[in-house]
Amino acid sequence: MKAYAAIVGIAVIAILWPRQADPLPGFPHVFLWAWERPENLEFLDPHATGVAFLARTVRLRDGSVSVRPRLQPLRFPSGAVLMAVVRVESQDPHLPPVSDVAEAVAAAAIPEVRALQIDFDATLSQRAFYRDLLADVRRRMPPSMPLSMTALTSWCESDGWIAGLPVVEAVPMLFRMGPGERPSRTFRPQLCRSSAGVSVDEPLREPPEAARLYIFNPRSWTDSTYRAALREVRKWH
Amino acid sequence: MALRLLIALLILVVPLELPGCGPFFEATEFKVGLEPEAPDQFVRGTLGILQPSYARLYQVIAYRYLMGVGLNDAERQAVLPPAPAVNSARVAGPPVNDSPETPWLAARNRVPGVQPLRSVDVYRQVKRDNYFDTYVNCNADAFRAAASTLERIRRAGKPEEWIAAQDMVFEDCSKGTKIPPPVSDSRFAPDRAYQIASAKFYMEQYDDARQDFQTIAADASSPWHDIAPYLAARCLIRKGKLAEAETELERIASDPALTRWHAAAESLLGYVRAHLNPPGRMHQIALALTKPDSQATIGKDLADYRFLFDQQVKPDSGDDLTDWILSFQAGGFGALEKWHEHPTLPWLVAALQSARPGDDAVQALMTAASQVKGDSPAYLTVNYHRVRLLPAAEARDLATQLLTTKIGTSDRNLLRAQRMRLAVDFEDFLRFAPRAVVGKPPTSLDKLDDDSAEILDRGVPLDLLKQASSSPFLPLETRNRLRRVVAVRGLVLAPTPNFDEVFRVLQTPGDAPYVQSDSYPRGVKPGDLDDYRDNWWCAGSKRNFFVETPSDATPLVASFVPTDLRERAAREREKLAGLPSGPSWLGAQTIAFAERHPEDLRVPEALYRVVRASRFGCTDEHTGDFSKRAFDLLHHRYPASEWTKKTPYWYK
Repeated sequence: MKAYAAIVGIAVIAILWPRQADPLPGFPHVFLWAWERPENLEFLDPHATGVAFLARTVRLRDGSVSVRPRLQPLRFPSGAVLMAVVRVESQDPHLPPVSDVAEAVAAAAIPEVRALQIDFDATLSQRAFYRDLLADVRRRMPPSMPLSMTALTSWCESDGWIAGLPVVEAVPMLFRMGPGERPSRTFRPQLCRSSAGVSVDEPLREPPEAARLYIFNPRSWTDSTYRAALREVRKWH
Repeated sequence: MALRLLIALLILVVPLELPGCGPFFEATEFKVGLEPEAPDQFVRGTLGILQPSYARLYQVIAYRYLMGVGLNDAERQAVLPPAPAVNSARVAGPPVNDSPETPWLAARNRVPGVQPLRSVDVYRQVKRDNYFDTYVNCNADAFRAAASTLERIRRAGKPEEWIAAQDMVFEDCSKGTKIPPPVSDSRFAPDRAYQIASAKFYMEQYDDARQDFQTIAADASSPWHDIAPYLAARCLIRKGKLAEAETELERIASDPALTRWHAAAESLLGYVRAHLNPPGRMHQIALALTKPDSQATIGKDLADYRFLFDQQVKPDSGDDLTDWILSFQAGGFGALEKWHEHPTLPWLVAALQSARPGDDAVQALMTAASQVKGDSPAYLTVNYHRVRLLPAAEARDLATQLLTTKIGTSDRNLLRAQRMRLAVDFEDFLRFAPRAVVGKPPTSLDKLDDDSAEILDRGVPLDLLKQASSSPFLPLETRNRLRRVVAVRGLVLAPTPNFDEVFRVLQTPGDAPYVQSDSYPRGVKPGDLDDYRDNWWCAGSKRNFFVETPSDATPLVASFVPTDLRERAAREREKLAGLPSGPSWLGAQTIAFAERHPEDLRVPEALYRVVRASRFGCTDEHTGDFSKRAFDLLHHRYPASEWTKKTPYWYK
């Protein structure tokens, strides 16, 4: 009887133990990043894998905002979960008004996509700008649509500037890192814990603990690369 | 006060802009890759030493010059136009001159009383199930035409109504769905009809738009009636009816009443045929690209040709240009046979490229190459290959003679590399070892490329390396670097390394027993730590982890080195290949010395530096052990030392 009570108690504790809620409930746990190249992803399993595709690049130059939309075809299977990725590139310190940039970014939140992800490199002096930008984009997007962002691993490790940003997740990119840097398995900021970005051409010494993975491929995806990537990440969880 | 001032100064010197990505390392270029060193000279026929790595644009240009066709001024302008504008549409902020809509917005916003527009989105998303794509719906021509039409409308009366309609048309470029209403002033009815047809075109209502353009074509009073057939044909292309479009464009291109649109129709015909019959179109273009006075078509033809090449289309029947590019870019594959069939200059160049010393065909090729005159665009290329193929003595003379002529930096480096391999003795080798960086004057011979560094590093013994370190043929900076290499190499090869030297190397993170080329310079002074662990050396590799060379790689043959010295160099190489990483080797030497000489005043500092090296240097699987042993020794034996206080951790 005591043993039975102990088992029940442990089970109750296990169920009630606080755990991190999935910031993207109902989304697949694997996303393929589809960058600016022709991509035919009709082979992927839409229940297991989503598509985070580069939808547009927003360039900030001389105080102006220019948009280059995706000009390469993307094919995907029916029912695939789409996430539009917007790359923001700022080439000089003279930044345009936040609202102009936010308008260009939020325009990628078209009805066909389920979420929006922003990819940018913020210098120290640009962080306030990007903080405001994310807030403005969030306001312009449909309230039910999640906003995600990519993050340098340093943003998730040593500095806390991303704390409180109006995004559901910050995806640390565990590839194309500096020489000698080893990607962490897990990160302290809550925003960085649920997802991680990896690349098919950079094996990891230690798999990340994040539950959701974004996988980058420096070439167009093929069925075999996709299967191989899935086999690899399934070993991690 | 002084401290506050210092803090204030430090704040001021912190860079305001830090790169958010990276790291990015500087690479030194000694020879060109995808494009010639001076493209503006290349299009004038100064081909230099022709490289198979050049983009196909340059291969086509080279072929024309080698065949004696060349390029006239207009053709040059067409094949190498000014750098293209950034392909993105401005959506906000001050005007950027390279935006396609700029002429229209400038003209429109100047009209009094019209609400200024900031931008026009020219891209439209393709609406198709399970598909995402975007395309440029409104081209620069449309905006230029609108700007000039506005001037005509302004002269004729009040332009506001026309502008409002034109704004609707351009809204349709992206996602608008507006068709301008009927016009109030009948004088402008033909213009409104054109606006309505254009709006339908941009809204992807191609059947309706085509019908409208055909109606306009039939209206001789419309200022748009002569362009309308061309636009009706474009509707067919957008609709995907390419065969019908081809027929219609052929009719336009041969209609004497539509002379003004012949060139545009021909250009579109090329596009249509490239899709209807890629091999046939590629063959057609390849023939056209070799014809003189082709300024009207060469730009578009080159674009189509490169597109089809990239799609790996093969022309339906062979043409000399395509065959030559394929062969030349594949190292001259099959070129010799072609040269026997067609003894032309392009095939001679390709065949020479594939030839190796001792090949049966070399004699015939060399005879033909020696007949190429000094003013030929192939002169430098064929003579470069002659240097490669001639017997050593003749090759040396030819290379030396070519190096006295006025040539570019990249070509000079290529010839110096050949001449260096033909060195008669070590001094002769050193004379041709330094190279100039592409982009700098050819005379600034102040760097070592990979081949020079390779021979110095792996092809000669320590004695010769020492001799090189004081040679006047090498630049001062290289000599200083070699002196440090000689000192460290002598140290690691010594049966009992001198601790004075070990201690000095511990203090100099840029020191290593290897000669490194300037391809990827270390970037900081020898005494400074490199932020990316390019400090001391890695195990079994001559470089840090950015550029690794397998320790068993065969070195370049340094024929000028006597056999006995070459054997000595091989023995030294073998010892170096078994060397642990710098931090491990320095750790082992230091700990051994510390055990033997605990009273030596340098020991605490040396132990501190071993731990530091294990953190910042290139490491191996034993480095962590040395780090811990040095740490333990330091803390147990010298707890009060200032160096111990500076060493709170050891590193795995």
